[in-house]
Amino acid sequence: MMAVRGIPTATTAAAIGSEASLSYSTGLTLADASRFLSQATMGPSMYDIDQLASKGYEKWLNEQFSMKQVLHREHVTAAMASMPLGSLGSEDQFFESFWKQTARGTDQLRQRVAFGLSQIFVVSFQDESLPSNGRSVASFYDVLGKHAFGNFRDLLQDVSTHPAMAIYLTFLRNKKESETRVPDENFARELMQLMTIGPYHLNQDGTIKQVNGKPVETYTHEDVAGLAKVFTGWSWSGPDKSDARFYGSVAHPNRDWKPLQNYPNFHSTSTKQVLGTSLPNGSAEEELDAALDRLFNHPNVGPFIGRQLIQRLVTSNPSPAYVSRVAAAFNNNGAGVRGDMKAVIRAILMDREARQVPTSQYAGRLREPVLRLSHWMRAFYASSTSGKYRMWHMDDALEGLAQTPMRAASVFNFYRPEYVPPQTDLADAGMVSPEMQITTESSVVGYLNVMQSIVQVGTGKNRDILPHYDRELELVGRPDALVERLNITMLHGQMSEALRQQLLEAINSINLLPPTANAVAADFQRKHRLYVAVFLTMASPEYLVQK
Amino acid sequence: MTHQHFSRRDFLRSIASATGVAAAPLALNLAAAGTAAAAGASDYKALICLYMMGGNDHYNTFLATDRTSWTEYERLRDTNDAQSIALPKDGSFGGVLPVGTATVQPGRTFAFHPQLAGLRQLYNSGRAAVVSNVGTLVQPTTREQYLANSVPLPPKLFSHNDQQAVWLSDRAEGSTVGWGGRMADLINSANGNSSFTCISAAGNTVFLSGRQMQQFQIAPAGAVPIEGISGRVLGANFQLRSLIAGSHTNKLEAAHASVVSRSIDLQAQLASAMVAAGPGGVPNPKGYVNPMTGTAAVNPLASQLQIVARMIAAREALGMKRQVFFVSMGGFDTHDGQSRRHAALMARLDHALSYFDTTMANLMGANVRQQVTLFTASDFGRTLTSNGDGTDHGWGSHHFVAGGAVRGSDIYGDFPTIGLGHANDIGQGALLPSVAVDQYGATLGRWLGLSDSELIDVFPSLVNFSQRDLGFMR
Repeated sequence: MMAVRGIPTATTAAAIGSEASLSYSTGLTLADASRFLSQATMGPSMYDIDQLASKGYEKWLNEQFSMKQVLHREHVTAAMASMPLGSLGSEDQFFESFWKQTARGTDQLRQRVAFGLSQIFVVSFQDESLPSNGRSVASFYDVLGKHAFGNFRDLLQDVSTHPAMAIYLTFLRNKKESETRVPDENFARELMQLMTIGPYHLNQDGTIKQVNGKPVETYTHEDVAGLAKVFTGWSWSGPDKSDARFYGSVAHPNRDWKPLQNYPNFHSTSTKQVLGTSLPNGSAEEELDAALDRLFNHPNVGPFIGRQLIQRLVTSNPSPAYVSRVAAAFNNNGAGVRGDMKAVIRAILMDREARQVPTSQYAGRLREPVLRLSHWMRAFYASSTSGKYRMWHMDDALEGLAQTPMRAASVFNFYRPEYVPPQTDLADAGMVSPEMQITTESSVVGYLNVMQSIVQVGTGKNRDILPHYDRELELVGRPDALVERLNITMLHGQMSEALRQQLLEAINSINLLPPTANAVAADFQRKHRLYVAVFLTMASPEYLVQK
Repeated sequence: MTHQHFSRRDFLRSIASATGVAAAPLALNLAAAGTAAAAGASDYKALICLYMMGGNDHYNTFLATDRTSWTEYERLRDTNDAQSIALPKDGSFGGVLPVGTATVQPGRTFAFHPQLAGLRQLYNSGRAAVVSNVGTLVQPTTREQYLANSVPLPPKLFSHNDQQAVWLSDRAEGSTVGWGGRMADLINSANGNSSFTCISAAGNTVFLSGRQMQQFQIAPAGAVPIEGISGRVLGANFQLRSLIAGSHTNKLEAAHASVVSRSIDLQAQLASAMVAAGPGGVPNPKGYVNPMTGTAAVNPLASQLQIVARMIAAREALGMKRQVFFVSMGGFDTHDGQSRRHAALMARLDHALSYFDTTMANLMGANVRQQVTLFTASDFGRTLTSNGDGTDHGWGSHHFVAGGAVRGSDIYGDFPTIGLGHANDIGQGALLPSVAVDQYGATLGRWLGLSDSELIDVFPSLVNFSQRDLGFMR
């Protein structure tokens, strides 16, 4: 069972106070706590903020690291019971589980890191065969969540033998070479280019090494071809290694999520070059181990993966020194262990560049649409009428949010880590903003129109997912207090005076009716004060850029 | 960011940023200086890039069918099983569709993919041509030079994201200026409105980003207004624009607000000019049936081309003389399941191309085929050898140019040998390109009205090629 956190009582909420600068015995202010949670969770609520401010970062992190993972796979398996025999789960069932955990789950750090990893180890329902393999993708997401607090080497192992990845990057049933056939190179290439070492040799601080004034490529086409041979002979798991099982006509009922196994009949036995030198000959499993070890131990992995995780959690343009400190934690967790993800996460979140309120005009990251919606759900304690958090994809730029978890357009994710928005001051300064790549003249309209609707009547199929604005509604008669509450939960205490005045102007333009008035009309006015306050806050560029 | 080529545009841009002059008046200044060949153009021309995401398998798109070629093709692609990626030969059931060539090619015959019947008809009617073995190149390159790495080569060959960027912008990923946008910088002076010179119906593309020009990214459904933008939002009296599109010190906030600001302005301009979809406007694409599954579905590429057609139909109301568009379809990275997947892709491509050709023949009563040229682009071609049920990343690839101004029914560029070990084979039949993207683009740019010097400005590597017009445009 998933732990479900209750909505705080009015007494608790009242005790929290309403000032961003209120300091706890930990020395943390509400603003500090909210800002930390904007980096470490799917979005803070006042309850979470109060808890963190009371506990302090260390205790909170340790609690999060020890929380039991709730498996999406089990949700989909349960949902499959009501589906036709032979169903392997749908993408909607994964979305239900995703949003249920997002809204209700207490293991928020794991969820946020897993969501970040899902944008590096990309598998997408946009593949034609994955929407009918909902459980397989759910299980893949579980693998990301599991190793989010484990070791990167184990993450590589499980990603490289997961059926969802094998389907998405097409190495399922990949056969050894023949006179006229070469092994499929798809996964071999992207594993190196996107998931481990990247295309160019890097310094520990993430900058590209220059040799004679030029970048040096990390791998050649021979390495791609060699690694492709390592990924031959892998197919569905099962109790035997018959050709029929390899091809799939004999199927084990859990093959959609069990790790792949190797079928020696189809595995290449020729020499395999990986990163410049041949792998020692061995079994397919030994060769996979050796190849993944070689990638894992490449000095690029720390800065390459570390920088992307910083971008997913904290800021689009980390300083080289920040990247270097995170890479150092990847290289050695302090106890001689390489790839310890807890050490990496701690290094990212506890770094001074993450913890100090930034003053640079290039600071922060554009919140991606999924994180805006998840933040809204958490800040306003969204619950599901059906209990299922019934959601569907939100890809459409005008009717949706131009982004859906696990539905990137390609293995290159929704956006690229090095995306530079043209003709901006960011471009002139050599800065990147990945999330701007899906920010279009259409998507901005879609977001504003969709959010106007969501803040009023909720989201999901048949508006299954509804907010609980109880505390905010108590404040509509005190616009200053309402705005300050939104400043803490949504803007982490960083609201500018200009935005505050704009919000007050809009709220105050809606008159509250006296107690003698028509009850329906009075309720309408009260709610619209709230709706406009929440909507305008979430529409503001100050909110959209997490700093 | 480094500016490798400090050009007149950089100079003008530096003036613009120093004086705060916006892009549109600047472009008019440029026209006044008489430097742009397209300045004062009275006719209308539109160029459309149709991008096939993932690297189209050109080997199964346009095929050499003479005995020598076909024997090698079958040897390397026919695995004699259900996964075989070899197409049935000309004359057999579901076989490839033969075509002739206006220029005789001794000993060789050619055909289209079986699902490209509509494109073949365009080709036979003289409104489509094939450009053979196009790819990213810095200079003419031989196989020996490639293998010895003795000449400059495009960065990150075989990598999807980088080769997409090189194809469209001459630089690897991270570049901010593409050749569609750079052409638009130069031809925009002909337009009464610079906001609609570059239009993408398929999201963000570096292709349409110029030094001054910014792309307008329109949804296939068109531009819709922001609710509450008129001064009353959710019951409050409030000017929403002041909050969402104001000025900001933080540069990420400013970048976002800038997109919102553009969105509001352009939607307002389009609202009155836009031609409707459907009866009385630009016809809706007819239903599309997937030939492999028999199921009816929306063809997103046709929907994108419909919004392009609606924008073209609004050209006079918007004051447009020159426009560059971008549409795309995904799914071309056919590492597996190719025989089924690629056939479905070809059918969708064909359905959309036929729809667009018909639409251009009668756009609100006018035949604008002569004024609209569509060309294809893709990350790269693919290997000739099969990996069992698919193909891997290659380099050079065959492409199409379609429209009334195309010298159709012919193949441009040397059509390579089918097989392994020949002068254009760099391994597994991946093709060393014989035509550079710069030559391909320059031929289109010349049609659009760019001068020789402007073309060299747009395509910096063009100076390395003697043939700068491939001759496929009238």
